[in-house]
Amino acid sequence: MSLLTITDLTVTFGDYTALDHINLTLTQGELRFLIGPNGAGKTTLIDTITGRTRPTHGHITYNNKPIHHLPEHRIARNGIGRTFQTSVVFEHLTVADNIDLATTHHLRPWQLLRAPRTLPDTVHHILDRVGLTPHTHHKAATLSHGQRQWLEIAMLLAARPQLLLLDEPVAGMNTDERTRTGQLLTEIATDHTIVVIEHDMDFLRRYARDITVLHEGRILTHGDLTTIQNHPEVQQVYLGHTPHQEHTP
Amino acid sequence: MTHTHPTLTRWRGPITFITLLAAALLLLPLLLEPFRLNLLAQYLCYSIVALGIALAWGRGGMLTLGHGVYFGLGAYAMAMHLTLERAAHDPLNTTGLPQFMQVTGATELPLLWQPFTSATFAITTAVLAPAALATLLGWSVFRQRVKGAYFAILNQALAAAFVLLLIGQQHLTGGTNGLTDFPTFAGHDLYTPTAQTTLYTLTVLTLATLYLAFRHLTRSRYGKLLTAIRDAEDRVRYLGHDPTWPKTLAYALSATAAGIAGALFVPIMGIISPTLIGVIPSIMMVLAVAIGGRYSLAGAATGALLINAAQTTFAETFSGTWTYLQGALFVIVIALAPQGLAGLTTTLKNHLTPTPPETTTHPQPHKAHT
Amino acid sequence: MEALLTQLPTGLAIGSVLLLAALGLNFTFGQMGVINMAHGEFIMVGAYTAFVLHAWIGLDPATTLLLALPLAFAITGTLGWLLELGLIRHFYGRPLDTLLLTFGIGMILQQAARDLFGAPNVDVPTPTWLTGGITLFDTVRIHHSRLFILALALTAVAALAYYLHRSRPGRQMRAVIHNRDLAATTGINTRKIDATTFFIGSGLAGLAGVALTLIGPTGPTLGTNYIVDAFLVVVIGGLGQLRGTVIAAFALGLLNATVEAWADASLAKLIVFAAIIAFLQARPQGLFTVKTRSLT
Repeated sequence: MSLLTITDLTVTFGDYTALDHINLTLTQGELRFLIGPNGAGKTTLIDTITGRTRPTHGHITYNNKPIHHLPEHRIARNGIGRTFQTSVVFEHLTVADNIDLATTHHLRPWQLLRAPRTLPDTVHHILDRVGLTPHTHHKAATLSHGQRQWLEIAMLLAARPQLLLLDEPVAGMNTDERTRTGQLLTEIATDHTIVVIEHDMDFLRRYARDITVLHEGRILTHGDLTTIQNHPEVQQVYLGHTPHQEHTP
Repeated sequence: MTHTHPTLTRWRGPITFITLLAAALLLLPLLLEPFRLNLLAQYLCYSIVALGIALAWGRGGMLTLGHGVYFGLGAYAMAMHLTLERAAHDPLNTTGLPQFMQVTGATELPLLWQPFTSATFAITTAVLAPAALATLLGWSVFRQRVKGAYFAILNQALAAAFVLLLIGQQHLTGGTNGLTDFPTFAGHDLYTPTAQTTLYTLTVLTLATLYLAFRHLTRSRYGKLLTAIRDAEDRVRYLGHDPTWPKTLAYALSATAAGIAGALFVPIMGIISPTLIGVIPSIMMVLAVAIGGRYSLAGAATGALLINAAQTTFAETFSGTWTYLQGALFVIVIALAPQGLAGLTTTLKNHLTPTPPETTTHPQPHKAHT
Repeated sequence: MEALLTQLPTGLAIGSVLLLAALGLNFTFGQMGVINMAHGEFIMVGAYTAFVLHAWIGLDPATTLLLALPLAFAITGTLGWLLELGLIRHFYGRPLDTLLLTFGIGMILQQAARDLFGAPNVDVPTPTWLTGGITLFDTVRIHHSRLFILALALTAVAALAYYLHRSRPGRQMRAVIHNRDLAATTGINTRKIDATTFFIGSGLAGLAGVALTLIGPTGPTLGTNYIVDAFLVVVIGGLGQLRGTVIAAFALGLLNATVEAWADASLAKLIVFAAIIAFLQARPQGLFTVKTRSLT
């Protein structure tokens, strides 16, 4: 069944059309990759789903309920989580507190006023899952770039979303970190619906089954990697002009 | 050190706190003459304000340039009651009206003043009025994501408007002169050394209680949420948290602390007037916190104590030089020691006794909020 | 309606002064996110420039006015330029800290004025050709001096608009306001643009100061009286928006004047404050905003 349905979505900034009549459906359990050249509208699409940007036209339904008019935190509470291109973690809090914060949005204000003596089991479990247990009590500011990306994913998981939107999760990572992130992604995909924006061709080749190509705010095509690579328009606008560059990490 | 004496480390904070509290309550009243004790109590009132500002600004990133308003609300509520008590017990005063009202030709007590004959009402108002105003203002601007410098400016505009109102409504507020001369409270003579010691003790206890309460808050999940909002408000929304209420709560608590401080200040100081709560005094309250350390409650309270002590010492004899010094302090502290005295002591302590890395990292100047 | 009409000149006069004061602020705030609290003291410096020309150097009122305008612009512009160079540029991304820093600078400037010129207010005489006035509809009287200020403010707006839209450095400045990082990657020297912005923005404060000598006395705290309202103009007008600033300045000027005529003057500020909070409920980002993709 469909989890997220985007109908006729258009977003304009002044004279500039960032998204142009997008129609897209995500079914439960899907792992969807979103690619496209710069300015194709990938991040705008995620921004619009999560309430950061408002649609100029069209609508978005999630679990058959319209969500495009909701404030960001309501959309998040409905079970849609996201990461950012440049990871944002709370540097002055410990890694554990960062994750704990993501688990507490359902608590009433007065429940937040208590200071917990021990970390909840869920936090330990998630720390384990993303491999950050050794850093539990370190300030997030001390983490490496890759570790910060994982912490973001950990915070996402802690909020128990149904749908995860990841904006370039392996950008700036080394080969080892990419592999670990890929494994993590495959693992998470078993019980979540995921949309990943990614440029890295190696990464796509290894993990992408379903790919949607965006270009100039429109959906160009959809399919697996081979279909995409053989699609003439895609070759022209995305792969055609600089095929070698896409292979370099 | 830390791992050799874990018990010692855990108890160091509480022991310091209890020692300081005991010294302040038992020792100082014996050592200081009543005049000095009264001065100290005045400074401690500003320390209470500083605790609130440290919570809102240091933890929550909300620069409050108008805390004089909340201090003033608390102070005027208390002063109105004390003024009425004086009028009621003055044998020469046949009308029962405050003196300044007789001058302006009033014949009966204005409606606004009537409930303030009750001490309970006055004290309740001193606490609740700042909280209510701050909640209203905070909620209406935070929910619209007005923050950072905009919020600071709105606070300052409120302080400017509030002072104009106090000066303009002379028949209700005593105008520029404010309200002054409060001989008694609940029938007790306020000028006796015993009364002064009692007021001082009350101030110390209030400061200690609010310190503990705010300290608990900053360590709770709420405190961590507040820090997260300070550093990346937008990010917090995508974790399902609405930043509006945590910010409003911190701001309202901070205003309440200022209101309580104002109510205590009036019987101690014996006067409240617009010059004590306008734009400049409000920003001086922030300077005190900047000097003491905005990220540290204890630092902020100490900063307020020091800056106000310095103010009394220098302001009268070298008023011009003192203004230059205050201006320079702003520049120096913000530029060179954004964590204030508290930051300097931590650095010093870490130099003398190296501690594990996770305890040595303390907040860097936080990111932009515009 | 008639009451409104009689308040019109006063409202326009307040609006013109606010506009002059806020133009520079909006410029620096819009481009650099810097709240310059010393801006009010720059206004005061501008006013004292006129005073010095008249009382110390002994120029006649007309020469004083005509000479003070460019001179005050140059002096306060240089002060602003030095402030940006020496302090502000080291605190980018920390707007609240900059706000407090510049407040400290303002305190120092204010005390310096007190030491140099004394605490009491001083007067700068108005040139004779500005002392008269014209009467409209029998009841509405407009002083020449106020018309002069209005003209000065509108000239400043026109000059700025020309600079921003027609000149090369002005267009670069707009690019920086729009997207600083992107502007930097296209080879614009943002440092230089920042310095120029501060020079012009602070220079405008000097003009506002000279204008103020035409309608009232000059004192060390002159700037503080206008700065809060000038900031409110920026809040209402929207960031880096010329037309927003113009509309907001006159709206606030007229609102101030009418509320003062209708209610108590002391209540007026509080009512205006409440009106601004109400306005922010409808338009939290001011009258005009540049819609961009990047929100951070």
